[in-house]
Amino acid sequence: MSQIPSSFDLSGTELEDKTFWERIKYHCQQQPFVPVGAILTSAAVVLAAQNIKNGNQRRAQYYFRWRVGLQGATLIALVAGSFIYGSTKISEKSQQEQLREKAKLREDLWIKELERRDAAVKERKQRAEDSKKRTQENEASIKNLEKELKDLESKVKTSSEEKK
Amino acid sequence: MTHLERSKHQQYPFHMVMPSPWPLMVSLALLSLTMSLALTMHGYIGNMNLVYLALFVLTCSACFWFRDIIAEATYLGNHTIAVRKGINTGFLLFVLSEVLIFAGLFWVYFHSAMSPDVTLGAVWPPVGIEAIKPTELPLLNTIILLSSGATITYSHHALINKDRSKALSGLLITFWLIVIFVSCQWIEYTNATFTIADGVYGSVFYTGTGLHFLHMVMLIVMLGICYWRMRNYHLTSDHHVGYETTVIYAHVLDVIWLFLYIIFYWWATV
Repeated sequence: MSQIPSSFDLSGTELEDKTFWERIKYHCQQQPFVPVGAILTSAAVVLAAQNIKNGNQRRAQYYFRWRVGLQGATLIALVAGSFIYGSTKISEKSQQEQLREKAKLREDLWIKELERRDAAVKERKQRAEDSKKRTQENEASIKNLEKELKDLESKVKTSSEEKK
Repeated sequence: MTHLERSKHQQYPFHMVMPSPWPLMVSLALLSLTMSLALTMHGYIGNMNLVYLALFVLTCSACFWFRDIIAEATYLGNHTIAVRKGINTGFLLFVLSEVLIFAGLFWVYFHSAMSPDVTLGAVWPPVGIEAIKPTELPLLNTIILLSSGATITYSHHALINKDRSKALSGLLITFWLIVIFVSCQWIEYTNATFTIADGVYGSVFYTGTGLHFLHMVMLIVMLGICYWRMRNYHLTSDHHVGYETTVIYAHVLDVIWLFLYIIFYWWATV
């Protein structure tokens, strides 16, 4: 028997219904350049700070450039990624519209579920009728056999009386 | 060299500081600022007068202290290479503590976001909270901040290559870019549909981005001082500790903003 459709059925299928951690993981897997870029940007800053501390201004300047470049690349990856994968397009739809769509989807699921149940009930009825028919047939055959048995018994009786 | 003559010279590269009232003044001002802020926030004090007083005393003491340091560095020549190295290390430790504060705030955010309470509707952002759209004002802010990183790097490049006018103009552009960033952030805060009192989402959002906002305000002050000092020929191509620390501060805050933008604005809400 299938489950009753509920509000929890759709969770996990849409980005909005994912938990925070799932969403972050999903984004990191979908756009791996963003976390990698952020980490590299931090590394560039650390190297620049180290060189400033050691009084090496030119080297620090070099890493500052890397910092700006990497951060720009990360930002481009973030924006481009979300445009490619269309996660911003979903958010552009109004909240009301999304809710209406979800309600419609749930309604469809309910109708499907009810139809499934209807079919199951019909099948059960059919099976019950079939078995009823089969029992009647069996009963009839049993009656036949009983008749035959009685006939045979009476035959045996008459033959034994004749011998006597 | 006779002993008498040697006694007239300093035999070590370090700066033996003179007795100064400012460390004590700043400590007391910070203590009263913390106390008055905490008492005001928890409703024990009904007005902001004590907070303003503490802020005023803190600002004055800091100004006098920095005036002394600038005099020691620029006019008395106390900032030798060894002293500069010490100051830079000290500033890097300060920056590290800042990074750790933000790490704590990210922890708070993750803690609240990863298992939202049933009273929030068990979703993040909570039911009824309309999160700020990351593709609107925050994206512009990010671009402004990135540009400020580029202009400050341009200014630093010009400074170490002895190009005064380019170093000054780069610094001025950076200053105004940060002013624009702070203004945009202010507009974003005043137009947001939720406040710091609107549940845990409002609290963690404004604490994280608001602390960054306060740092940006401080960065404006630092950049302004750097500009003023550079205009007055305080900085040379190889002796500009205040400028270097400001540049590092700006870069680190930029990177923190990148993480804030990705986590707080973009991926947590879309």
